[in-house]
Amino acid sequence: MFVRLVLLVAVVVSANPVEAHDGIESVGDAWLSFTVSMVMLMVFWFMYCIGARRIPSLIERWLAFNVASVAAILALLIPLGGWVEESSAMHMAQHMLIMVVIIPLYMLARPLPQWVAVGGWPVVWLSKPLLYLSRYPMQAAFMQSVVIWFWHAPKFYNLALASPWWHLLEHICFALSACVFWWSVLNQRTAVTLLALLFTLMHTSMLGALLTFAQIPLYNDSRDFHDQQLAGLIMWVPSGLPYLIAAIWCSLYWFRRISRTLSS
Amino acid sequence: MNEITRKDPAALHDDFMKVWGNPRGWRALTIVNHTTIGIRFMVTGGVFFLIGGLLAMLMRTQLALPQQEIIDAELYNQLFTMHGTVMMFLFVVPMLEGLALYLIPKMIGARDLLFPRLSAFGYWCYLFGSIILLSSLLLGVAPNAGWFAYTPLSNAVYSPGPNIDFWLLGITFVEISAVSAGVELIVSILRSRTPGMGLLQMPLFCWYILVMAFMIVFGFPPLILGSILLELERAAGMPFFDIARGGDPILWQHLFWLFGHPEVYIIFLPAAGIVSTLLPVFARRPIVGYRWIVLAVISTGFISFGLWVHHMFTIGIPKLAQAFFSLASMLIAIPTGIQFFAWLATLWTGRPVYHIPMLWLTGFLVIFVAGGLTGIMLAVVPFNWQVHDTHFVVAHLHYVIIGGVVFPLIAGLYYWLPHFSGRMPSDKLARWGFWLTFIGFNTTFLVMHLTGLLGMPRRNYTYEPDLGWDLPNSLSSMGSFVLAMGIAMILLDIILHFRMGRPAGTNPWHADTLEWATSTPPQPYNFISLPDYPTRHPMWRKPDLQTSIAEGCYTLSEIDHGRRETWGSDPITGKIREIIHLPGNSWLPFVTALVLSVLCISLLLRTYDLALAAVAISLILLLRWSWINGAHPGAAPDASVMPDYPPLHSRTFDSPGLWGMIVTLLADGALFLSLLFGWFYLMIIAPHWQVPDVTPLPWLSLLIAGGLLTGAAIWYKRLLQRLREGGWFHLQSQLWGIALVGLVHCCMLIGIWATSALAVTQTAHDAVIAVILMYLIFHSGLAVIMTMLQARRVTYGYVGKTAPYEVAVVEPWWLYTASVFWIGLAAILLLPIAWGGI
Repeated sequence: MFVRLVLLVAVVVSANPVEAHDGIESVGDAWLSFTVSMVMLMVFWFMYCIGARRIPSLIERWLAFNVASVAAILALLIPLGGWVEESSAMHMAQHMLIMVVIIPLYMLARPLPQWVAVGGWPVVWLSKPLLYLSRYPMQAAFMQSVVIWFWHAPKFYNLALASPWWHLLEHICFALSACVFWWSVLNQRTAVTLLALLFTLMHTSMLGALLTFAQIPLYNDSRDFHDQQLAGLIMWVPSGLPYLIAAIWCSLYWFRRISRTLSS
Repeated sequence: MNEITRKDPAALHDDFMKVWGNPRGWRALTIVNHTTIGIRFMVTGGVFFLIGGLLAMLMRTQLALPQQEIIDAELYNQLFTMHGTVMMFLFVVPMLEGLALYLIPKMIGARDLLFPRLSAFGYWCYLFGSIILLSSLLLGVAPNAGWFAYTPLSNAVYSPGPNIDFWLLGITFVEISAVSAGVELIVSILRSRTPGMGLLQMPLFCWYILVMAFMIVFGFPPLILGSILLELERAAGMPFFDIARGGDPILWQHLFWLFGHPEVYIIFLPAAGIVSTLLPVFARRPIVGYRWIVLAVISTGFISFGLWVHHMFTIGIPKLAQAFFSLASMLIAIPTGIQFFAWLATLWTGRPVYHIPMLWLTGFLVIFVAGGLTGIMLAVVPFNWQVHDTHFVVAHLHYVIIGGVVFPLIAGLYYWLPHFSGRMPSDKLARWGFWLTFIGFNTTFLVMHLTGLLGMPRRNYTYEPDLGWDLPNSLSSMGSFVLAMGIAMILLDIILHFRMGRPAGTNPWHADTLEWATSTPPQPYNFISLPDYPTRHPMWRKPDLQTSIAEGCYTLSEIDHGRRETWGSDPITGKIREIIHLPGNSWLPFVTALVLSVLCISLLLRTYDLALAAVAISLILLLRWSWINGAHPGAAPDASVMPDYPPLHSRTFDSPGLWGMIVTLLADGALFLSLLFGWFYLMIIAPHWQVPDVTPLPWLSLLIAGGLLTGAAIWYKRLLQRLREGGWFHLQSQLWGIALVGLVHCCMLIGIWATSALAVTQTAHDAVIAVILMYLIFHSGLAVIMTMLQARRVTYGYVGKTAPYEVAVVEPWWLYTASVFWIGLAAILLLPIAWGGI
C-alpha cells in the first residue's frame, strides 16, 4: 500500500504542470498551489491509512475513503491537462466531482476516528468548528448555497481563474462547505435533511439553468456558448442525481430508525 | 384513561352533537367541519367537471366535420382555454383536495383538521374565485390565451381586454385556497394522528397526500408569483416579460412550468394513493412493499421539481439542454415503475374480487400505461418536435390525466360512496357507466393520436376537408359523446343511489383503514373516542372497532367541557403530546372570502379605491379571526383537563399554529426563491437588460433599516426564550417596543422607496426591485401587526405565561422577515457588483 502511494506521488509530482498554465504569469504559483493541495490530500490519505491500522474501520467505509481519494487525485489532475482554463464545462465537472462525489464519499467513510488516532488534538481542534456548524441540516444547506453562489459570480470566478491561490481558496471553500453539508445530511437522516436536500437541489438547478440559458459568456474560461451551456447542464442535471440518491438513502435509514423506535 | 368502560352510545352521541353539531339554514354557511367542507369541495369540483366537459363537447361538435361554423375562432379560443383551466384548476386539484380534506382526519383517527376555519376559508375562496372566472364566459370575455397563458400573447398589447385579467386573478385566488389546504393537510397529518400511529403505520393514502401537500406548498408559489408579475405588467405597466424594456417572455414559461411539472404529479399522486388504498382491499391482502411505495412517492416529489424544462423543448432552448432533459425525463419511470409492480404483485398474490371500483382500477392500469408510453415518446426530442402542438399531445395528456387521475378518482368515488351516504350504488348502472366511459374514452383519444400524427395542429377551430383528418375527427367526436353518456350514467347512478341504494351497513368492502370505523354517513365528530393504533390494518384486526369507538371505550371521550378536541401527537412516533382544541363554527371565513372576492372584482374593474377599502376590511376581519383564538373564551370555553391528560395546546409552546407558520413560511420561501430566480434570470439572460448609472437605492439608510429589523427580530427571539424559561419581564411593554422598532423599520423602507429614483414602468430592473421592496414591506408590516396584536392580547390575558403559544407562533415570521431582508438586499445591491456590472 505504502509503496504504491509513494509511486503515485512520484508520478504526479513528476508530471509537468508548467504547460497547464500557459499564458498565466505566475507559473510558479500555480505549481506551488497544486503541490500544496496534493500534499494536503496525501497527508489526509496517509493519516487515514495509518489510522485504519490502529482503529480498523468497516470495509465499506475503508473502500469509500480510498475511492474518494483516488477521485480526488483525478479531480486535481484535471487542471494539469490545461482543460480547466479553457473549458467551463471541465471546470464545472471538477467542482461537481468535489462537491457531490468526493466529499460525500469521505463523509460516508467517517474517517475522524482514524485521523484523530494519528493526528491527535490538532485534528479534534480542526474538526470541532465544522461539526458545530453541521448541527442543523438547513443551516448547513444555507451556508453551502452562499458559498456556491458567491464563487459562481463571474467576478470571483474569474478571480479564481486568474490566481492559483484564489483558486485554491475557492476549492477549500467548496470542500469545507460540502463537508459541513454532507456530514449534516448523511449523519442525521431525518425529515429535515430531505428538506435541506430539496433546497440544495432547487438552488443548484436554478444556478445551472441560469448558466445554461445565458446569452453571453460569463466566465473567462468559456470556450464558447456550448461549453458554458454544458457547464450549466452538468450542474443542473447529473449533479442533481447524488442529491436524489442521498434523499432516497436518507429516507430508507430514517424509516428504519422510525420502525426501531416504534418497536422498542 | 386506560380502563375500558362502556357507555351508552346514544347519550354520548347527543352530548357530542351539542358541541360538534352543524347548524342548518343560513347558518350552514358558518360550518367549518371537515366532512362538510370536503363534500362541498367535491360537489363543487364535480359541477366544474361537468361544465368543463360541456365545453369539451362544444369543441368536439365543432370539430366533428370540416369547415363547420357553429363556433367561431374567438369563441373556440375561449373554449379550449376555459376547458383546460376549469379541468386543471377548478376540477382536479380541488376535487382531490376535497377528498383528502374529507378522508385524512378519519384515516388518522382525528376529529377534524387542525385549522377548521382555514379549510372553510379555502373553500369559499375557491368557490368565489371560480365563479368570477366562469362569469367571464357568460360575459363573453373569457380567457383566450391557452391554459398556460404564454406571454407575449397574454400581455396588455396582444390581449388588451379583461380576458387574461380574469384568468390571472381567478387562478391566483383559487391557488391561494389550494396552498392553504396544503398547509392544513401537512400539519394535520403530522400532528393529529391517533395515539401510537407512527409515520410508517399511516395508511398509504396519507403518505401520498402528505407528499402531494408538500408539492403544493413548494410548487404553487412560482405560478402565484408569475401571475402577480403578469398582472402587475398588465395593470401597472411594470415590464417583466417585455423584451424592449429589459424583460423576457421566456421567464413566464419557466415560472409556469416550475409549477406545471410538479402539478402533473400533484394530481397524479393522490390518484395513485387511491389505487394503493383500494387495491389491497379488493385483493384482500396488505399491499406489497409498503416502504418501497413510500420511497417511490417521496422520490417522485423530488424528481418532479427538476424536470420542468421538458415542457419547453421547442422554444429554442439549447440542443444540449434538450438532450440532458430528454434523458432525465426517463428517470421518473423508476418510481412509477416501483408503484406499478407493487400493485401488480398485490393483485397477483392476493385473492382479488372484482367489485365496481376494481373495474375502474383495471381501466386505470391499462390507460395509464398507454399514456405513460406516449409520454416516453414525447420525451424523445425529435419526436417531440414532430408532434409538437398537434392533437397527439392532446391525446397524450388526456390519456395521462383521464386515465391516471379521473379513473382512480371514480374508483375512489364508488369505493367511498357508501361512506358519504351510507348506501350502495347500483351494480348494473355502474357497469354500464364504466364500459360506456371506457369505450368512449378510447374511441375519442386513441384515434386522436392518429389525428395528431397526421399533422392536425391543436387549438384550430376548424380544418379543410380532404386532409385525411375528417374520419378520425368524426370518430373522436362520436367517441366523446359515448364518453359523455358514460359520465351521465355514473351521475344517474349516484343521484339514484341516495334514494334507492340498499343500506351499506358497516364496512361494506371489508376495508382495513380507520375511516370505516366512523358511522356511515359519518357524524361531524367522526369518533366518540380515539382508539390506540398499534397496527396498519385496524379494521382487519378488530372488526368490532366501530362499536367500541362509539361506546367510548378509548380516549378523549369526555365532552362536558364544551371544547372541540382532538389529540396532538408526535409527528414521527404518534405519541400523545397535548390536547388540541379546535375553533367552532364561524361567519369569519365566509365573510372574509366574500370581501376578498370584492377585492378581486375591483381589481378586475380597476377601481382601486374599492380595492383599498376591501383590503382594509379584510385586514380587520383577519385580525378578528386571530383574536378568537388560543386562550380566548370563544376558542376554549374551559381550560381544565382531566388529571392524567396532557395540557391544552394553547398552554404549551408547541402548537399546530407553530407548525402551520413554518409550513406557510416554506411556501413563502418558495415564492421568494422564485422571485430571486426571476431577478437573476432577467439580469443574466434578458437581451435588453438595462442597469441605471447610479444605484437606485441609498445604501446607508437601507443598512440602518436592516439593522432595526434585525434588532427587532433578535429582541423577539430573546423575549420568547425568557418566556420559555418561565421569566416574566414586562411581556406587554416589550412586545410594544418590538412592534415600535419594526414600525420604524417599515416606515423607513416605505420612505426609501418613495424617495428613490425607481422608474418602475421604464425598466425591468427597477420593476423587479420594486417587487422585492413590496415583498419586504409586506412582511415587516405583517410582523408589526401580529406583534401589536400579541401585545394587545396580553391585556386580556389571552397571551401570557399560562398561554404562551402565540408568541412562539410569530417568532419564525420575524426571523424569516429579517433573513429575506438581507438576502434581498444582497441580491439587489451586492450581486450585480459581483456579477461584473451586467
